[in-house]
Amino acid sequence: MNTYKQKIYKYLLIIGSFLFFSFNGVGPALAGNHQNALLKVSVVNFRLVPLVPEVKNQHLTAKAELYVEINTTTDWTLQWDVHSKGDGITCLLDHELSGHGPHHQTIPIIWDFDWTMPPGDYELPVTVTLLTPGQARVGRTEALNLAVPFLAKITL
Amino acid sequence: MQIQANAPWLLQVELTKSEHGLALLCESLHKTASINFLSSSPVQLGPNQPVVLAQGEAGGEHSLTLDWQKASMLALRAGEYDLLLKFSLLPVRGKAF
Repeated sequence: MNTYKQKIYKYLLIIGSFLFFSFNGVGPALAGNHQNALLKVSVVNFRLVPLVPEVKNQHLTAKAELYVEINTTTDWTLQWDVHSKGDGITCLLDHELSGHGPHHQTIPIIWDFDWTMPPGDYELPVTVTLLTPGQARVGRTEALNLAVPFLAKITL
Repeated sequence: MQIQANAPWLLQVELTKSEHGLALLCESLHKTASINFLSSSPVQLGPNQPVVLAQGEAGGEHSLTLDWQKASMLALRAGEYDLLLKFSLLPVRGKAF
């Protein structure tokens, strides 16, 4: 009998330990999933405008978009910050937007750069932050990529 | 010709159309210091044989004047002969995108 009780106790201890460690991990994961559901961000990388640029002007233009999905029933404020180094990055919208309830927002971003910029892959980080009353800030940082091609021109 | 590029470049030329298989000789008459003409003697250019003539660094201050002459000793009748030259600028290194 004593052995039987010991076995039951042992099983309960194992089950209890399993539940304790499981919930400790699941709690934050659920909170994280909730935050992920509140704010979804997807990007369309920079592409040159026009796609085959002419070296007529001293400047070239590339356009990118951020697609933001807000899933909340409350008031919200959306902020975005482009981590540029003074490379002619412009945003057609203000850097802050407020609203109420679920919302889809497209944020166009334009990169105006000198045509002498060396060829290569460039990355522009953008941070999007959602503020809702009584809840934590939800932030996402996404990278917008730009591939600068070899550009050359002969004038006869 | 004036050359502008955002990276080091190579100037390639090809005789894409040449009546009677006429070949040409090309040499540099004048160039800015930023251009390296790859041959010290005149370069022979046959039909459909691309030849790299010069190289230069990134920037927009490159100027090159080329002189062209008939290469072959073919006796040509008086008249007009069509020649078509195709110039290309290629990146020196890295991917061409």
